[in-house]
Parts: sequence; C-alpha cells; structure tokens
Amino acid sequence: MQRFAKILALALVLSLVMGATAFAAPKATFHIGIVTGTVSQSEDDLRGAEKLIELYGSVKDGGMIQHITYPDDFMSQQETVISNIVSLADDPLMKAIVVNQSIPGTAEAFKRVRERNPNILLLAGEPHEDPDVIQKAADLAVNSDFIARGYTIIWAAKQLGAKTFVHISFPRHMSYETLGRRRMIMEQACKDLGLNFAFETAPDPTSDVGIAGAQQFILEKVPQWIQKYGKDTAFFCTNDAHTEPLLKQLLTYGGMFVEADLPSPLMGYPGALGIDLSKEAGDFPAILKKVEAAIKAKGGAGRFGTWAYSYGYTVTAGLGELAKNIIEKKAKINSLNDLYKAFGKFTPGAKWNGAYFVDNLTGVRATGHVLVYMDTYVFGKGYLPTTQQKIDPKYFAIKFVN
Amino acid sequence: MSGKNKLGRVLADNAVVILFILLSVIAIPFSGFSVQNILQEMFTRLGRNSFLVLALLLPIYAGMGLNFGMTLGAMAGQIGLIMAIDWGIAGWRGLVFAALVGTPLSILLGWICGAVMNRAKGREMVTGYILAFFMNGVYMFLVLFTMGAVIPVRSATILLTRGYGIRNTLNLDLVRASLDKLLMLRIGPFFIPVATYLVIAVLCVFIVWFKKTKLGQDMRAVGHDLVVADSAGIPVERTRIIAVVISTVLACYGQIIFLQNMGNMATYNAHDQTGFFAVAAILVGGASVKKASLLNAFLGIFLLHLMFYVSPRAGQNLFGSAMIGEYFRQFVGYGVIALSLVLYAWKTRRDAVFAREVLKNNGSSGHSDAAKEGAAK
Amino acid sequence: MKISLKTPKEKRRFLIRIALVLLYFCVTIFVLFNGRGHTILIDNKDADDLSYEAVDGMEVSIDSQESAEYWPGDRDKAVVRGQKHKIRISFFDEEIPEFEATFTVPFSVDMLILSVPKMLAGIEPFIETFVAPDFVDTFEKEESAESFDSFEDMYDGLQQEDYYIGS
Repeated sequence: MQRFAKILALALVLSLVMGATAFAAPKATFHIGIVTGTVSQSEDDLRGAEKLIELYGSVKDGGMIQHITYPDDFMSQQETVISNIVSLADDPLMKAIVVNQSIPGTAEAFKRVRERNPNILLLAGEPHEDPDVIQKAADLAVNSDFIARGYTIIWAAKQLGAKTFVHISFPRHMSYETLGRRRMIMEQACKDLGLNFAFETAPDPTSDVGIAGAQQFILEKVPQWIQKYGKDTAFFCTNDAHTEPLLKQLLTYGGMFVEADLPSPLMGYPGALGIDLSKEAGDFPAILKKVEAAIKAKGGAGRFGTWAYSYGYTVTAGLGELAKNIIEKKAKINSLNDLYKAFGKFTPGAKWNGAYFVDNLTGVRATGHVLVYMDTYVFGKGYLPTTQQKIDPKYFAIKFVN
Repeated sequence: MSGKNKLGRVLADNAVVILFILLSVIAIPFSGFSVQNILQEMFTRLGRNSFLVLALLLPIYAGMGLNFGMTLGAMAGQIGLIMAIDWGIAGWRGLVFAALVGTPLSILLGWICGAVMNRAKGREMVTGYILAFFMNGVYMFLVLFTMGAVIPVRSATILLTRGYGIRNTLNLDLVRASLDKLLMLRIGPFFIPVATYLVIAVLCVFIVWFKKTKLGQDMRAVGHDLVVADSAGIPVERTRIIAVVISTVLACYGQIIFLQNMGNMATYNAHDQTGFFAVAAILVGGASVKKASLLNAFLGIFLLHLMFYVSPRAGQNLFGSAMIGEYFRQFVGYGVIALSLVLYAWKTRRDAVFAREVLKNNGSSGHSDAAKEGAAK
Repeated sequence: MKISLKTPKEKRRFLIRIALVLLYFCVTIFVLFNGRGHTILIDNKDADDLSYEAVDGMEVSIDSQESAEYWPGDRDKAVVRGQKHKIRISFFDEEIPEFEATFTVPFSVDMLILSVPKMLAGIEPFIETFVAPDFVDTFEKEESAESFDSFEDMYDGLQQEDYYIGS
C-alpha cells in the first residue's frame, strides 16, 4: 500500500510538471479570454465568442481567443464562476478578459485577476451586479440602455403610427430597478408624445403556471386586448417567454411590436413564424432577411420591429474586438467612439448609441460604465433613426418609486 | 492467489481515490495550467473548504451518514454575515460577529434537524437533504420578506430598492479575506493563509480530542450499534442530536470562512451546493457513509478541487468546446457521489458474503486463505 | 426545564453555562463596538459667515493611519473602526505647535464630517452626521452635455468606416 501510494504521488507530480510544458506553442503575441454562458443558458452570447474564434483563432490552435463558459446554475456555484475567470490570468500572454453576461461573482473574480496581474484589461458585458460594484472592478461595463430606450421605444411606436402603447409585465419584474424605472420613463414619454399608456399584467413564467401557462394566457388575451385598444396599438413585454405568443397573435389579429426587451431577430420571431433558421446560425443579415420575408408574407410589413443583430452576440464579439484594438493601441478604453466602432464591426448597417451611466442617488457619472442601444429595424421598412433622437434630460432624472 | 486477492481488495476499497488520481493525472497536462497556479489554487481552496468538510465528520461517527442538513448551518452563517454587513462591522471582528449571530441560530436549527432525524432513523441522509430544501424556503421568507420589514435593517445599500428584502448579491467588501489576510505568509511564489489554516488546525485538534471524551466514545458506540448502545445506558437520541448540533454549528462557521474568502455572497443561492460539495469531497477522499477520518477529508478536498479546477479547461482542450469542459466537471461531481454510494452498497454486501464464507470454512475443514485473512482481521 | 443544583457536578455545570452565556454577550458587544466601521470626511473649509477659517496647509492623520495633506477647501475621507479616535494635525506653518486630540463618534452613524477649522476654533459640535445632498440638478447638466458630444463622435467614426445604411 505504501509503495502504491508513492507511485501515485510520483505520477501526480510528473503530470503536474508535464502540464507546464504541454500546449506551449502559442503563435499569437497576446491572448484574450472570453467567458460566456452555455448554449442552454444564453446561446447568443456564446455565438459571439465563436465568431471571435472564427476571426482570430483559438488559443489551442495558436490563435488569440481563449473561450470558457460558466456553469448554468451560476448563482449556487460562485466558487467555480470565480475560479474559472481567474484561471484565465494564469496565461502570461493573457492581456484582456471579457465576461458576457457578467453574472454575480464577476466583480470578485476581476478583483482577484487584478491582484495577480494588474495589466489585464477587464471588460464586463451586461453586468448583473450592482453598478457601483462592477464599476470598481471592471475597466469597462456595458449594459443595454434601459433609460434611453424607455423613450426611444415610445418614439418608434409613434413612427409606426401607434396611438396606444401597452406594457405587459408582472410584479416581480416591476420590482427590478431597471425594468421598473423604464416603465415610468415610458409612461412619461407617452404623455409627452401624445400616446395612451396602458399597463397589462400577465402571469410570471417562473411562478406555478410555468412558461406554458404564461404563454397560453398571452395567446388568449391578445385578441381581447386588440379589441379593447384598437389595431393601432404597440405592445411591449418585459419577459422573453411572453414574446413569442405575443408576436404570433399580433401577426394574426393586428397590432404592432416595436422591439423586445432584449431585442434580436431571434427573439420570438422564429417560433412565432414557424421558420427554421438552423442553416443561418450566427449569420444575422441572412436571419433578418428570412424573418423579414416571412413577416411580409403574413402582411406584417411596417408593423414589426427588432434590432437587426442580437444584443448578446454583439456585446461578446464587440467587447472582444474592442479589447484587441486597445491592446494593439488602435483604440482607447474610455472612448465611446471606439466602443461603437468595435460593436459596429459585427453589426454592419446598424448604428449604436448610448451614454455613460449616472448614479441615480449621488449623480456621479461613471466613465467605466456605458449604456448602449441600437437603431430599431422595422420589417418591410428599414432602419428607424432611433439612435439620432435627442432625449430630454428630464427622463434621466425620473426616479424609481415602487 | 492470496496476493492477487489482496490487491483486488485494496483496489476496490480505494476505487474512488484511485479513479480520481488517474483522472487528475490525465487531465492536468491537458488543462495547460502551470504547476504554480494549480498549487496556489489548491492552497486557497484547502483554506476555503476544509472547515465545511470537517463539519461532516461527527455525524458519520454517530452513524448518521453524511449530514446534508449542514446546509442549515450554512444558512445561519449567511444570516450572521448579513447582520455584520448591515451593522458595518469590518475585518475579522465582522466574522466573529457573524459567527456569534449564527451560533444560536445554528444550534436551534441543528437541534430541530437532529430531532427530525431521530424520527427517521436509517434514513438520515435523505431526511437531511429534504430538510435543507424545506429550510431553504424558510430562509427565503426570512431574508426576502422579513428583513427590512419586520427585522430592522439599517443599511439601505443592502436592501432591494423596494425597501424590504436583501439584494440578490451581497458585497462582502468589509470582511473580504479578513481571516486570510490576518496572517498571509509568502513562501516563494505562494501565498499561504496561515490564520485560516490555524483555525482549521484548531478544529482538527478539537475533533481528535472530542473523540476521546466520554461523549465522543458514546457517539462511536451509537454509531456502531443503536441497540447495543441503548442497552449499555447511553442516551442514544440525545447523543445523536448533539452530533448534528455540533455539525451544524461547524457548518455555520465553515460557511463564514468560505464566504469571507469568496468576497461576495449570492444571498439566495450561496448555500445551495454547500452540503453537496462537502459530501462529494469527503467521499472522494475515500470516506464512506460509515467511516471517515481527517485524512479522508483533506485528501478529498485536494483531489475533488484539483479535478474541479483542471477539468473544465482540460475538457475544453480535449474536445474543442468550452461548454463540454463545464459539463464534464458537473458530470464528474455528481458521478463520484453516485459511484461511491454504489461502491459502498456493493462493499457492504461483499463483506457480508465474505464473512459468511469465513464462517462456513471454519465450520468445515482446514484453513483456507480466506479464513486466514479473516482471522488476521 | 427545572434546574436542580444538588450535586457539585451539576452545580459546576450550571456555573459553566452561565459563564458561557456571559462570555457570549461580552464578545458580541466587544466586536459590535470595536469592529463597527465609520467613514469620517475630514473637512478644511471656511464658515459661510467666516466665523472660522480654513487652515492654510496642514497634515492630518487619524489613529495610526497614513497622514494626508490638506489645503483650504479640501475634503478627504478616512475609514476607521471603533468609536474613540485620535487626530493629529501638524501645520505647514512650523511656528504653530502640533495639535493632538481625541474624539468619539456616535455608534449609530455611518458617515460623518469632521471640520478641522471648527475643532481648532473650539466650536462645538465639530462633528456632524453627513447627509448626502440632492444631486439631480448637477447631473442633468452633465448628462446632456457629455453624452451628446459623444454621439457626434460616433457618427464621424461610422462614416469613416463607410458602413452602408440598410434600406
């Protein structure tokens, strides 16, 4: 038994030593670590990382990109989340780490990466942690702009010819600061632009009715809502599961849809239209074309909108691109312009806009935290210049009261 | 014949340990991590997880299996930490405060847990598991609804904006790494959290000492045979409750140590996997439902976490997809628990068959190899 | 539960329990007070009515923390633990002797302002609870100015890259 143990110990040590030498033939002069969810959790984010690998190669094959994923149940496996991200810093060539989405634990992981190697650039996409926590840890954080979109979605609805705006949600979502505050901004924007604002409650898909029950509710309710508010009504829902049945019924019974909460041509449309996009995976112009053709065929031209590119996909790929540009000294970390350029590379034709995050409580502007949004694409009509709209600063001052 | 048999037995008895060492030996080179990095990570994780795993030992001595109910202690520890952050108590004092708040809570929870387990003798493990789910609901209610509404909370920054309920992720900056950094030793390229190790060492000494006390001896007797212990005048139920209470209190401290190292706390999920990973670690270390030692605990933590650390990257480098590495890690984690439980059942049966054979051979003629071995035992 | 104190063993056990409970409370109170963190904003500003004036250059250190330089109008912060603290001020004007004082902060307050000029002038109270001012006005201005600047930058950038605009 003793000898056996000795042999095992020797084998362990040997393998540790081998570990240092194997896979030590990198060709890229620096590496970028990309952390995303898995296919089952957030497919679009992962596709963005695959796009980067396609462009710049995987570290394993001598390329630039080291892609890892975090566990699906990331909330209860913080230890793994943190150590996975930190493990990227072991690579001496690692110059930047991009996490999208920046789930809880990212800020702590970033702190540890800094302790090990302060030169690594740390970028956070769609942080879930409190703004002041992630701002302290990351060099740059990017969120979808819940403030500006509260106004631009209403503006776009008006361009489509809507007279009423219906906001569909439920109490759990309305208790989130981002979603609750956006609703209040929308209400104010409706008042200013001359639309009627209506709030409808739908069941929470995470409650006991489940996703199926929540979707059934939407299927049954939409015809009644259209009767109640008329056909010149734009609908908006905060939950992804509600999107698909909502689109399906709006296509049949009339009504409008500006864009989803997390807009993407893949959000709701393929299911609602019953089209197969497996061939087009990751090729957004092709996806957009196919969805557009299907919507026109159903007579929905000019009534339905989206972002032409998936937000999650673009943030992963765009932040990776930005990191590469910064390391190659072609871009600066605190330049919004460079950020939009990097994003724009993956969204040809669409424009980005945004602003720095401002703390609602202290009024401090955080230059390391950007809120972004994109032009709305209306099927059968083309881009709306959403990003060129001037937004009255008073909307930014609307505070969340529940 | 006998030598081969013996080797077979050694292999079978240590199957999980051997399997893990083999997997690690294969996975380490593929992960591409440097030796220094892996060792540093192991030092950190030993400090972070040991206390939690050691909390499992006493109930095993008392014959109550693997105490999945330790999750209750973890919840108590988290409530303590929430209070410490709320009151703005910084540094190691914050940890002590959290432990002091957590202690009475975990004693209460441990007592409830032990009392329930006494009504479900022989099914303690699944009872503890389900009890943890139930208490999770109570914890949610307490933290999500009563904190800020019934239980006063001073600090607005840890509350949800709606005015009651604690935020989803709690930033533990005030107490972050305060135990680890109390006495951080630098040896070559490695950082060793000496203070944390000292706390763990004290716990080890306590366990060794406790086994020698009257209560510890009673516990072993209870663990060996309930009926015999009862007829020997040992208060069986009380002893079992004490074992669970101590385990729960230790789990409470363990979770505090774990979280101070992590630096932030998923308020509603941090305890979800606590029991599960602690159990996985001790099983990987070669412990069984009936038998465990300090060595099992430390060996297990080392092997499990080595595997957890290297397998995602190794899986990725082997299969070319980041996801597969992650799934591989999960598969290994759950797989090992299943494997060691199956092996334990199989071993129990094998030993029974073996014992019967020994008896039979003794009853009839001569001394077979098996009998000799049996006699030697 | 009835506590009987018949045998010496039971008596001893009872005493030990009482001692443990006492110890528990003592340690709790100790860490609660001793570990309590406060943020002290150290101020060096004139009074509105000029009843006291800012110090023209000094170095302030609290407890054994590193000292910081203060010019008139400066405000910095120190994070301290516990309620009793020592403040040491050395002036750039070497003719004024070093000033040393101890002060206590109220247990329940997270953030306070300590005005050094007030303290030197002997005006009580020189420590006040800090209340965050309302920032809404200032940040509105900043927001509109900054973010719209960058919009234009963005379009310049996009045009250089020659992106097509979808139909």
